[in-house]
Amino acid sequence: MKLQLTGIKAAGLRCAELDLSFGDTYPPQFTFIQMPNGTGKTTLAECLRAALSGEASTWDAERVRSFQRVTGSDGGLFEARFSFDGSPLAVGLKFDFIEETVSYYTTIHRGRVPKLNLPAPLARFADPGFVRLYIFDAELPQELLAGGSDRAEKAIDAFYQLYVLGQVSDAIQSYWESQVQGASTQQGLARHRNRLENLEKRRRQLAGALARNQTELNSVEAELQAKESELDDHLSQVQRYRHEKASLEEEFRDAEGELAKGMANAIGRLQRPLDAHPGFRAALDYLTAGLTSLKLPESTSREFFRDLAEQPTCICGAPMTADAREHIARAAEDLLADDAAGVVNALKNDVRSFQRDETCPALTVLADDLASLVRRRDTARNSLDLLVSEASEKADEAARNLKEHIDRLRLRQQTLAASVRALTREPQPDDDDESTCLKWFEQEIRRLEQVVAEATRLVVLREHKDDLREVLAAATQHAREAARRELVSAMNQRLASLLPGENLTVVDIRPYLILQGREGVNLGAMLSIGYSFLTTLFERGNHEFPFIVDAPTMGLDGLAREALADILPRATRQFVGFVLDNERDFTRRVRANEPDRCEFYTVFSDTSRNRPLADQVPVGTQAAEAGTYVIRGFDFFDKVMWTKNGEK
Amino acid sequence: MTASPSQTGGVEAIVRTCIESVASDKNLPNAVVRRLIRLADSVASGELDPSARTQMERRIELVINGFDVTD
Repeated sequence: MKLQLTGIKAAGLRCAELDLSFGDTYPPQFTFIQMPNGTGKTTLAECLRAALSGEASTWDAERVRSFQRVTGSDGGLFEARFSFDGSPLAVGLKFDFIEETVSYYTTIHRGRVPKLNLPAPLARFADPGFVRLYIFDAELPQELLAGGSDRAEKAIDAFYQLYVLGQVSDAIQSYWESQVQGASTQQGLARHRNRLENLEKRRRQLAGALARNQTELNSVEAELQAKESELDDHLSQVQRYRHEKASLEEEFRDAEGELAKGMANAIGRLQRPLDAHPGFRAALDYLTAGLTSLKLPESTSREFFRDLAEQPTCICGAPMTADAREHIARAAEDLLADDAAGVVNALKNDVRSFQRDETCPALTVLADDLASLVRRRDTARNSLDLLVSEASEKADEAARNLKEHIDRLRLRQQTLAASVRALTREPQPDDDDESTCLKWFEQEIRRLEQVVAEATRLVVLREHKDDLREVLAAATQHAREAARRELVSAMNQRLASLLPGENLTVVDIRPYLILQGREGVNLGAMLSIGYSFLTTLFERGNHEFPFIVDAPTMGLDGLAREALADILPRATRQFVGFVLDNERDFTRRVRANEPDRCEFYTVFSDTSRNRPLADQVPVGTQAAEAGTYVIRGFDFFDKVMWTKNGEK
Repeated sequence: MTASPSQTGGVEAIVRTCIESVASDKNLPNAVVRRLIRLADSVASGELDPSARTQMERRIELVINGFDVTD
């Protein structure tokens, strides 16, 4: 991210009226704006900070009034223009001194919104504390050295972009949360796995039982068939038995045939909803009642009413009077509709004929018929069984033994068949882990296998997520420590050049700057420490901010000023200084170092106090609005005399 | 430890070194570490907006898939 100040504009405020442009895309590395006391350097710096921090939205009425011009004004404007990653950006503050409010506007490219709307990468630095790092506040060095402040540590996080690791960590957490659905904990996974194991064990038991029962059933049925055949052969030696058996078998076949027909008939009737449930018939009656109020198709029905009205008697048998004729003609209009209504009439007829279908027996009658047919078939079978039993009793011991064996086989066959049916039936809604339905176990196992697979994936994913976040958190701590050591070393070298012979050393910068063996320092030393820290910091990271300072060398002695002038070209890509005339040794030194990268402005208002300055402006130079002079160039900047008698 | 400012537009060299060191202590696969640093680089350089959820999720998935990569 690269932010450069490309211009400032102020009007109606407690500062000089000005509109300075430093270059839309490539502002110079150094811009010095020389302004006498009382011209509004502090006001401009405060407005710049507010433009980038958003703090003006919290200003109260008294704070807003402090920006009002002394001579009075209803409103004021401050606009800061920037190049943000190569694109134009402007932030404005509109002061309303009648309402005592201030509002923002933001212009990005050509679009303007009536609020502070910084681009996202810049917005994350829109913090008053952070903005004061690069729009330098005279109190900042003191704060950097004050216990209880974590400003130094926060500055490291910002310039070394340690917050990026936090952003990545948060995104990993969000990713994890988006993946979590249903069971995901280790306990949940274990519970599912245990149940799955139990279900599989139970399914294997049931499958084994089914296989055994089915095998035995097949064997029993085969043996039963053989024994029954054997017994039949034995008993058929008696002629009477053969005849009775043939007769009963014929009756049994006939009964079965009738039952099959009855079943087919019953199923056919079931397809008619009127027979299946009385509710259908009630609904149909309701529909028919509604249809009777529907109208008749006009073209086919008008003739009917006309003919009726001309008949001597009505269709109800009453004599057709003049009143009756008139009533029929009038009422017919209410009953006639267009021909599309013919469909409705057809529907009425169908419904009536359907309801009149008396040939359809009620379902209960069908059920009674079926029960009767079943009884007939069972009776025939029982008669057959009885015939065999009686014949066996009367036969020899071998036949009796055979019959007893067959009875045992049948009993066993019934038990096995019931077991096989129970094991192979379709699943029911109330089946559970205690059920004997094999198909239900197979279904449940398939479902649970999917749950376990998903839970397993999530458990592994959570372990990976935790590992990554732990790495990022630890790396942030380690990097902060490493950055701290690196910064302490680098800034102490810089401090030594700013304050040679002072033997001033910073031992730590966490959470604030801590000096070795010193309780306090003078103003110059404090400034030097602040510059050492900030300029060392500015050399790190991918972010470039303009370094804007009000009276940058006030409090520094000559040696420190020279050293600062030598450091700044390396430490910052853009330096904007609001300076006084007594800082010219510093500005000359910077210009000597970087002659092609400096711009100089002298700004003052045409007041009685500044009359000596106004007297020195180049011939032909006119004051701008509100009597403000803005003179560009090093010559005037460096030579103008600021005293009444012309002596500097 | 000294490090110069990042020349790639990504995270600082110090930060990169620390991620590598901590990840090595935890025996994270190299593919994971490489992809994690590349992800942090993309965010730090502004190439990837951390609030762009879909893009971030795709990149995080790539990092996590690195756990299955045999170096």
